Amino acid sequence: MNFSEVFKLSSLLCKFSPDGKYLASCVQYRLVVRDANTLQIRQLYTCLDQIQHIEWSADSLFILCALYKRGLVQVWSLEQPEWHCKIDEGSAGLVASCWSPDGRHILNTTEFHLRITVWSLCTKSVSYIKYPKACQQGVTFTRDGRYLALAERRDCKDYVSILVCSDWQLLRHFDTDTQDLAGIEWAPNGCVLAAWDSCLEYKILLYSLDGRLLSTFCAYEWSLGIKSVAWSPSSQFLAVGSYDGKVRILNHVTWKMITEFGHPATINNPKIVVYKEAEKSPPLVLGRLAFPPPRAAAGPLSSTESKYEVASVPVSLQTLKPAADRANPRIGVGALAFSPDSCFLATRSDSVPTAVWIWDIQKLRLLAVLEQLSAVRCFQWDPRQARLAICTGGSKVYLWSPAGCVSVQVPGEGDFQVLSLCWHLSGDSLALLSKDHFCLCFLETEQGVGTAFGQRADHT
Amino acid sequence: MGDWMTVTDPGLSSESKYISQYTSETKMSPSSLYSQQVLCSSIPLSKNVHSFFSAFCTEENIEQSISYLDQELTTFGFPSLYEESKGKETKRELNIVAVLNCMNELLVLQRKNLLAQENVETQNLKLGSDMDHLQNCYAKLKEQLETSRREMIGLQERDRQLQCKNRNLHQLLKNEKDEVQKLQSIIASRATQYNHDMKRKEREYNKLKERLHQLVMNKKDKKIAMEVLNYVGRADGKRGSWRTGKTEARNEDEMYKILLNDYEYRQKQILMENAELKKVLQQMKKEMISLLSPQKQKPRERADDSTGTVISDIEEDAGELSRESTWDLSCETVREQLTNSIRKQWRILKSHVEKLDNQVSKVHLEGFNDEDVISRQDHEQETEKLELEIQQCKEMIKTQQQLLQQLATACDDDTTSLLRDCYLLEEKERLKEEWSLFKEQKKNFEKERRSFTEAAIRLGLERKAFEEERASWLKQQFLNMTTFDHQNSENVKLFSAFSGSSDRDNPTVHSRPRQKKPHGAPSGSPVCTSKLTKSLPASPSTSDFCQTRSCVSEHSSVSVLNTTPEESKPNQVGRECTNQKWSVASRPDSQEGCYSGCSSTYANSHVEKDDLP
Repeated sequence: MNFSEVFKLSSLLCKFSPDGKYLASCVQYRLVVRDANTLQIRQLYTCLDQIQHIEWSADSLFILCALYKRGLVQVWSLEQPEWHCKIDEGSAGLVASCWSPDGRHILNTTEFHLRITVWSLCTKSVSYIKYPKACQQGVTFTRDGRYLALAERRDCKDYVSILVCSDWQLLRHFDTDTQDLAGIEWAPNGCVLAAWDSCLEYKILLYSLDGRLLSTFCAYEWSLGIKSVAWSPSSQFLAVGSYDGKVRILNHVTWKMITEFGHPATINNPKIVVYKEAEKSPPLVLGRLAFPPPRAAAGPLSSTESKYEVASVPVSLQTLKPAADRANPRIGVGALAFSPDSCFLATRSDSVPTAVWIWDIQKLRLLAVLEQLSAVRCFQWDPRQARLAICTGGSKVYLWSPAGCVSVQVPGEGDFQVLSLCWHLSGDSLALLSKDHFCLCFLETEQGVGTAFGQRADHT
Repeated sequence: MGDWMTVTDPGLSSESKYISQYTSETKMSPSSLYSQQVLCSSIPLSKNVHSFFSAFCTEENIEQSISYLDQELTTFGFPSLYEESKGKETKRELNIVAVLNCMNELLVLQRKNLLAQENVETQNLKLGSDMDHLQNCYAKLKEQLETSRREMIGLQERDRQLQCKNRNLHQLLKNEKDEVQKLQSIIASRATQYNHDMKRKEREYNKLKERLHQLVMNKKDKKIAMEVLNYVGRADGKRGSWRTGKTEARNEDEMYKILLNDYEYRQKQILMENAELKKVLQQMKKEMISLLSPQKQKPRERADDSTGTVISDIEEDAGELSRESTWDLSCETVREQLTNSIRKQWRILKSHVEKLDNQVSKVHLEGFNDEDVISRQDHEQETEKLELEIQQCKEMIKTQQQLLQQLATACDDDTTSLLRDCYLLEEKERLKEEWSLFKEQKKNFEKERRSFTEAAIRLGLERKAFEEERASWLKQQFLNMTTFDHQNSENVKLFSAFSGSSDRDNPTVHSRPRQKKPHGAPSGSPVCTSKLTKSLPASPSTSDFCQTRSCVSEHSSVSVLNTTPEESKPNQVGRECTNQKWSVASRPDSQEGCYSGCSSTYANSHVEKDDLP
């Protein structure tokens, strides 16, 4: 496992291009595009103000930089550095901007969700979509980029519009039986749309592409409902995490619940492997105690090393007591992610913020629990294999695979606090983002996960 | 009880009185002595000198008493004591026989009476004890009754309390239910109110939004614009098409195509799954048939009514199977047949397994003896084998022992005893050696000490010599100077000052060597340095501490590089000791350094010594 040098970064804006060749990162008002392998700078663009959002077009030819404060979007071409495009939303303001899947249209949401403007880079045409709903996830494209589903709110009712992306024509428009639609999400096969209600009511609706209601699911009433939703990459399962601390898995044939995964604070089953991160105090070498300590050794000594220990059951996890009188209580399943092969599901229960739970979907049972020393910030699966990267805001990055797990110290001067991470699409490298720096972590190319992990364990 | 006693007591006493009277009467005749005594005690009136008879019958009144007795007896139905009177005038004669008869009869009567009395007494006693027993029983029962009554009351009380509690709980439950209902209704009302409010707010919000929309969008905001260098081509290279009804239809078509594809894909998957499941089923069936077929004969022989028919079904099914496999259709009839046949076979298998189970259990029950016999044979064989093995092992052990003995006899008994003692001796030897080592070390220490003192003396001598030399040299210089320019006198002064300072430095250097020695110890033996660093916090004065620290920091690398103590020493002692004498002066130190370098144990002890002051 190798680490690149550390580069500057602002507002955690660092993204690999969809083809995996480039890496775009932002430093204040500058956009830097590097080669993903050599990390040499390929292009450098200067925007008008601090960049707040970047997005690659699907064909990796353009990059969109949104400057929300100014209501501006600037688009840059990788092939023609001199080409430029600037979209000004004027006094309407701008709160969100994204590419359409064809990479030739930009969807800008104005302030107060007055409308969505669709700007074309090919023609002068501008389209408007009225009544977009201000919600968690109101715009979603199918994987193949053909259709756009859009949550709408008219006359105090929720609607979903399905549009054809090629000419922005309305294909279907239907109302959803929800109090307050919170989000919509296409299944990866693009044939089923999941729509769920706000947290006040547990309700998830499944619609076919042609607008037919396939099924509704409601696990309970009178309590806070859905917190997170994730489709399995095979479109076979829909995992629904809710405020009662459970994940419910629906199947794609009957849309009924297959199983229910609870997140208990104590683990008694000896079959479940509990990895506990433990601080490792450096061994007391007499030479190290020389007075005064050599200056070079002082740096790494400050950050303690850590390693994983397999805890013996029963294990009780650290739980947070939620404040009942506050909004958005820290309870329930807040994060869900399926592994690319749909075999594993990683979850985080917000009342046990230091733990990541990994479930075996083939056997429908809990496989492993990783208990970190600090709260888990973010986790992401390797896009190629069952390998999970986790960061906790410390100077370490953690990797789990069915073979085991390791904690890796990010080398470098000072503390590199990993706040976020993203995988390269080949799964060979991993970008680690801190508050104002980022670095790349190169993993060994696949030669069997087990041996690779063995080596990695040696490195740490 | 008490009442009873008071009632009975007098009776009893009276009875005893009667008894005593009776006895007095009965024992009147046989023994006069006794009777006299009794009478004396019982009848105090007859305290005369005369006997009892004289009291009743005396010489004078024999006639009267006889007649009295006769009268008495006749009234009691006895025959008269007198003989049948022959003549009226004649005095009636006393008939002795009659008297005797009468007496005899009286005695018999008396005995009878006594017997009866005894009987009555025993009966009375019996009755009395019965009475007592009954009274006890009665008391006990009474007590029991009392306790049970109390218990009953307690139970009733408890029952009442429980009922009370139950009622309370019911009430509470009811209250809770009411509360829940109330809360639910409150929630519901709140929800409706919230929804209502939300709707209202949203309407307002929408109005505002609309307004804002009009204001912002319809003003023909010049700012809302896109600047682009040149338009780029579409990703697919085609030109954009107009929106027409056609495109709409095409979109619909495409959508349905996608949906259809998806459904087809899913159907295919399901078909595949089905086919696989069917395969599994058929395989199962085949295996079942093969499993059951060897038994075909037996049930037929037994002519079991039910299984026989089913077995024939199996044969039919077996025939069907080949056809089915060629069909591979999900036709309903085929499916039914398949499932039915499987079910049938499953039933057969189940019954068969059950039968086997029964048989096994029966065999277990019945044929236990047979098995036992077989097992016993096995046991015997096994034990024989084991015994053989044991024999072999024993022989082995014996030979080993013999060999050992041979070995032991080979050497003398003395040696064996010596061998036994050898450990102790060895230890003694070791201790002695250690002791001598200690002594040697002590001697060494002593020697070193002496050398130290010698060195100190030598140092003093050398110093004196140096002083003298310096004095002579100064003198010479002075003499030279006086011959030269007067300007140089300042120089001399300066130099002298310098020398003086160096002189002053000298003692400090001499006072320090002990601390310096360890660093002077070349080739930086790790033990030594570590000891030093460890001992540092315990060092007495901060100034010393600082000095040593600076020494460490400055010379740690150098001392490691230097190989010989002579080379390291000058570096150590001072930066400005360029003149030779300095090095000479410090030679003893270096020697000591050498010492410490040579024997690490010595250095350690030295360093530790340093800690002490």
